[in-house]
Amino acid sequence: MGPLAGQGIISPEFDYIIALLIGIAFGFVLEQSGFSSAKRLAGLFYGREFVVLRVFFTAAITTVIGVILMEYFGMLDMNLVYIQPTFTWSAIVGGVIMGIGFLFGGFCPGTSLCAVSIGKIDAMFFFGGLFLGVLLFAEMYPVFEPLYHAQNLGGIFVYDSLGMSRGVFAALLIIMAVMAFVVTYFIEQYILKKPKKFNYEFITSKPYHLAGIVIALFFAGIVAVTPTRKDSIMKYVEHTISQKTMSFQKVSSVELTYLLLNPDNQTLYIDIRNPQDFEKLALPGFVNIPFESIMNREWEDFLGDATKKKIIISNDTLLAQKAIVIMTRLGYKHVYMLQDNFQKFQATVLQFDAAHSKFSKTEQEYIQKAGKEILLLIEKRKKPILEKKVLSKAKGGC
Amino acid sequence: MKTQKQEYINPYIGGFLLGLVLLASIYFSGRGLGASGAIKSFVVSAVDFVVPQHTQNSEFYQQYTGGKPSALKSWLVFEVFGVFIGAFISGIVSNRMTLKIDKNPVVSSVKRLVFATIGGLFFGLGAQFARGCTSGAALSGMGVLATGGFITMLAIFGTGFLFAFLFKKQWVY
Repeated sequence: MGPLAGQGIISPEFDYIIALLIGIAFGFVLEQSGFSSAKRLAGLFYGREFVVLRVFFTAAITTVIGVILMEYFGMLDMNLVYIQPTFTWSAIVGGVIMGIGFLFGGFCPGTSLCAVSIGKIDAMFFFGGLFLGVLLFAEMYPVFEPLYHAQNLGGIFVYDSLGMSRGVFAALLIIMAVMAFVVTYFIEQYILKKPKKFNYEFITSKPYHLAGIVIALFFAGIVAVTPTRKDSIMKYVEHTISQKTMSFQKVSSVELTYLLLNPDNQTLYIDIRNPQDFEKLALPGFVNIPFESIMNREWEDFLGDATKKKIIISNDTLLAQKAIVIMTRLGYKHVYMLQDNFQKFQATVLQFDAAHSKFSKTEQEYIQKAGKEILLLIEKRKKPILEKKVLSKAKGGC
Repeated sequence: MKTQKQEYINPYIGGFLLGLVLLASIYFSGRGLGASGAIKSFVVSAVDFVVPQHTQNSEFYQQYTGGKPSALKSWLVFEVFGVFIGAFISGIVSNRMTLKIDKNPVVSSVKRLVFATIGGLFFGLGAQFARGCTSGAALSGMGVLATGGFITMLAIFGTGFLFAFLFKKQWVY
């Protein structure tokens, strides 16, 4: 499952070789597409050349389709892919400045490098200008810093920002790209003074273009109905819970108490409450894996230990059941849950609510004694335990 | 016009190949393509080499210097070096190697070069704000459906179309 570098499948040194190879392919394709000519690039803004729009949007939709399909087939973990953080104002200001730079210079940084490489002197000056621009930013950083860091929305996705599902957004993006391709073709023909009539004859004269459009729309349909990995697992969870197709193995509060005081090294204790609750009060030996992050691959090594029993506690027994369904689906074995929720355990064992007289006298005495011991253990415990597998998210940015 | 055009590959095929390159980058290294980040690495390293006391006192340079591995030993620097090689190979294969100033004949060489430098300066500055340039922020950001990528893309091209009339003499010939 990709990305390979973030999981140590590719060593950092080899990652540099990959970087070089990817760069070579990138430069080759850009140059072959004609991106080494400022006239062709800037011509977009005058309706003269649509090569930028065509290459750029074809590349974007190819990538969107590829990423969605790779994630669906379990080839790519999006949690480990660099998602550029969105700082709204900085992104707008930067884009506007770059737009003006585009009009002045006719290049963008990547394309200027391609043009430098084939000997365009104007591109060499543009490329030199880039260094001045970065230097200017670096020296003026104290002035720019407030804007640079304003309104940090983190690594958010555009479909979430727009309140759409990923599939619908991706399909619309593809349809919009295809429409832009068709419209710009007619604009181009009009400017070249070879206007075409949009009729049956014209359509049949362009079999490859027609095939391309059909393929693009086919993929628009595919991505529209491809659920995110999280969605498809959650759907399975809802189905399993509502249809009661799974039975849950449970441990009682008393059994858990006994285990906590007599650690056997064969059990993993997992607290799926949120980190705030966990910090306030955590039982000894418990590891906090908030419900939302159970699917994350950083827990794979820890939870994947098939020789160990796992006990889940939660504020909500239904949430614990869901967690078990997810974990079973992910292939984790021997998952148990606390029969009661965390509050009940707290009341029964830690605060020893004598009103719970369903226990025999010996049990009551044991619970009372054990509760005190557990409280002592909680006091002794200094830091919450983290046993994440170290996975590095790629650091990107241009 | 027609014959010159055929030198380049079909833009849709070019775009598809570019998409595949970007996908390979995401699959292997978990990141998109980029260009301006490598320039930042060069600038930081150069300033650190020439005036090290300056980098120690500046908040911006401190993010990249001071005990951390050299800014030049980064993924993007290798990738950008590759871009240079790749374009060079392409230029040789397609016989496009030249040494000339690409410009509108009615515009003087000096003006073209001054404008190109200003353009580079703006782009270098803007790419820092946007946390990436056309490839790093706009294309790679759009590829993974990041909101910032779409904002930056719209801002770049929107501004380009809006103010294009001021630069018509430069590009329409």
